[in-house]
Amino acid sequence: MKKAIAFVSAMLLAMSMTACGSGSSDNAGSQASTGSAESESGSSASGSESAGADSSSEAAAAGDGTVYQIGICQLVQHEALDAATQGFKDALTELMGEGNVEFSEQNASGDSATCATIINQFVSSDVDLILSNGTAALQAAAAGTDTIPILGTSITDYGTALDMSDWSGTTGRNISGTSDLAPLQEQADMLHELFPDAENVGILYCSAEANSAYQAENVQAALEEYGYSCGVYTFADSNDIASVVTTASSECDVIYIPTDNTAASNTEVINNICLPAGVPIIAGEQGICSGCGVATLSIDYYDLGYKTGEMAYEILVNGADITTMEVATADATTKKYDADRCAELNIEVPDDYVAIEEE
Amino acid sequence: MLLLENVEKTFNRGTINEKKALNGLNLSMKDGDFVTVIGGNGAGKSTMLNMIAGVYPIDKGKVILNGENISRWSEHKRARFLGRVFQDPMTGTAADMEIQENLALAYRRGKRRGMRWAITKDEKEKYRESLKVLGLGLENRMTSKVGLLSGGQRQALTLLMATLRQPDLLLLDEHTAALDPKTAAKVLEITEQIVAENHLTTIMITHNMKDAIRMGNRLVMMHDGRIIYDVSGEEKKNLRVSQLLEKFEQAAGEEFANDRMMLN
Amino acid sequence: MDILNLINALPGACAQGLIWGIMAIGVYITYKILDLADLTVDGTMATGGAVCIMMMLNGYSVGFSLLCAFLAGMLAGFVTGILHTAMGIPAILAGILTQLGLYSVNLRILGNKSNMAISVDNYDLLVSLRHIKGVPFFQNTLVVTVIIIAILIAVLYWFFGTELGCSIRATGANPRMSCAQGINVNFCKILGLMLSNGIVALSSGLYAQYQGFADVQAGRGAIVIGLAAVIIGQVIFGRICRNFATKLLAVALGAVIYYLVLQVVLWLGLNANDLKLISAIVVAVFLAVPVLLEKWKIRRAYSEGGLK
Repeated sequence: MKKAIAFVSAMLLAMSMTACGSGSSDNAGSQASTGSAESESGSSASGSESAGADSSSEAAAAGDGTVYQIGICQLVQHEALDAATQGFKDALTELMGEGNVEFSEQNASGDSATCATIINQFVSSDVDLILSNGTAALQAAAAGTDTIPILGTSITDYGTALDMSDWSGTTGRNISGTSDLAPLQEQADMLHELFPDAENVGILYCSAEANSAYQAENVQAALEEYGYSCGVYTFADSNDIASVVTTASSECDVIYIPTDNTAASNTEVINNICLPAGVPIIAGEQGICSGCGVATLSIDYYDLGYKTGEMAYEILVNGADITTMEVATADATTKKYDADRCAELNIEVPDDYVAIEEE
Repeated sequence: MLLLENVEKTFNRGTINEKKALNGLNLSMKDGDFVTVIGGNGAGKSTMLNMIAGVYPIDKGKVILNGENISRWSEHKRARFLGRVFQDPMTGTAADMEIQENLALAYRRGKRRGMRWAITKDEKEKYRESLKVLGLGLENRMTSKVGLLSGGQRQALTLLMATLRQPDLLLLDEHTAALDPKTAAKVLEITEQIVAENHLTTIMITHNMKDAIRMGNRLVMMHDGRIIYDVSGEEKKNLRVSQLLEKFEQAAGEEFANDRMMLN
Repeated sequence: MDILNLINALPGACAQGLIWGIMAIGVYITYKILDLADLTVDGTMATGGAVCIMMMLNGYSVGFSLLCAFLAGMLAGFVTGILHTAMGIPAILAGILTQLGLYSVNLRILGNKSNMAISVDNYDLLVSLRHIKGVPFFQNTLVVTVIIIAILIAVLYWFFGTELGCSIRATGANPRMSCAQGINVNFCKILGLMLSNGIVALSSGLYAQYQGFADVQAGRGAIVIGLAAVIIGQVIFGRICRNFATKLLAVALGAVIYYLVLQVVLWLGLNANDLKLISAIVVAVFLAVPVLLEKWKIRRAYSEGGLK
């Protein structure tokens, strides 16, 4: 008796929360779509086979009226990742038309273990395509299915994330997507362009973020070619960020910060230490730059997401083969600078730089 | 057999709560001695037992058991020689474990505990026999959790556990103080029976002067961390409560009035 | 909101729950048997995966890698144990300290990366998200985890029935009594912590394989899931499971139920941002229901005329 009540109350609680939360996947079309979605995903995954005779009636019914089920698994709430998800959704909605595509959007709130739960949900619902936004989300999806097409976004290095030693630009399996890898060589060039006389460059990032370590490694190589001596400064979480930055600012002439989520959330702290110390920061992305940096080569996560959405359209509607689809990167980069901070630090910015607009 | 030599212990040294619990305590016991200990609150009775058992290290002096200086031994190492029963019935047994499991733990006191099964069939028979002696019907409840027993039953069980493997020295720290008079009498009866049967060397702290006189072959009165009165043999047998009170009054002076209620 | 989708998702949720159930059994040893709140597990839950994945990437077999993960977990438990017993640091704080330190250790194990992937396509993994459906019976993750849990429970049942295991139980039940019976209480606490963390690390090693990567953040909040499993298991199966082995089983099932509830919550289309809050509420409900029920019973039993 006791146990039954305990269980029922937990269930009731869960349901009552839905009532007020109202999920994003509720849609009148969902009931009808499941059947056709299955046949669709079958054909796109196998790539070569057609829908098959037995399901032809369904396939015919699908036609233009198909409602595609897309599962979106985002690793953590974050401005850049949110923008990528939004771009993805906008692209698909525009290309397919309102009502023809349906998104089930889930966020693991930074808990990588939850990604597996979310992916399990998508796989068992047999969605047509999974968007994995963030490294752990991609890894969980890769472990979860080898049939449903998976697109990644906001992922820096697919080779490392997917445990592929011979990375060639395509995965050869049901995975493709877009990489947010900033052009590291060009960022190093930029740092040299602005600070040719600096000697010590500090590279600052969070040790818990795989992407950051990868960028740091590569940018360090590029910087050392210019003859800079590089020091790596890592912090474990936002608690020790202040002391690490203080050390870095006292030892370095310039600091470089890659696209690091933790750093992005703590730009205020970094700025308050580095600006008084007179140490300029080159950032890997615009968000960090406007918070504490002087200049950046920026990629737009919304564009990145949008591009991923276009890839999804190719796969779902035009039958493109995901196994041979190259992982794409952002098309255009812009050199941007923070006017106020450059003025304060007396940094002369070349003409081809665009000032970051105040929000 | 047991020798306490000039033992000193001060708690909270250097603080406002500094308390000299034992102050040059000397005690010598022969094999088979049954010593009853009386004394006012804070006289150092329980501290003496704790020092023998090794609950805290002593500051000065020696604790010698069977000719061996055990002053620096840890509590669990000394346990091999000692059987202990505490004032609080909760302390001596594990409530969450079965009666037979508690006994099995006690049966391995001083033995290496390895990967052998914790209770064997033969042991269970032995425990059943031992429990029968208590006369509390516990032999039929061997798999019951000890938490279900009453305070008196738990003390009787603790007593059995303390003596299941014959200890060199049995330490009873006011083990009937938390029980109602009838149960206390029953537990004391069992105590006498077990001690007599096994010829155990015993120290028993009590607040009850009549019990202190009636039981054992030697009586010790403590005050301010040392022994102030030590009597045995015929002289002890002929003691009266009034004589003890007198002794106590001499030693304690003013404080005595406060303790009088405890010493009825 | 198709109910079929939910039913399809259940095997996966069960598998995930069972792996966490192993972890919860580890937590049970410290929390229930030793009566210590050991927060080391938040660190160990990442360590085990890190060790296991790195070993496998370096060509060692699954079995040996898991064994090493287990040993690494024991080492972490040993450190907490020493901090707690020899240095006299309160257990909670000792666990937090080890957990904090483990972060750096875990990073080192992972070669200063925060995340290492292992692909089920390249390695012979014992369990995987992929192996829920459409694989031979003996490869099915559900079957494999059930077997592992059965073996684990059997071994623990045996161990806690031995003299040594019994003295660990006694240490948790009544340390003063244990000491008086000649049990080295500190040794038992360390041993219990080691065993517990070893099991947690084992679960972590399996979980890293299951999700296809080891992550330095993996253990965050693990203790909450572990405690949730222990409590849910106790509330739901407490009446039926009185024997030690079935109690452990109840803990494992508690973890499964935790993940089933989570899966239902996801299926209902809740905003995943609220997931942590929901987890907290689920645990709180399971903690509170027995207490409230008891109060309600007492209240109902009262009548001015007394009992009839």
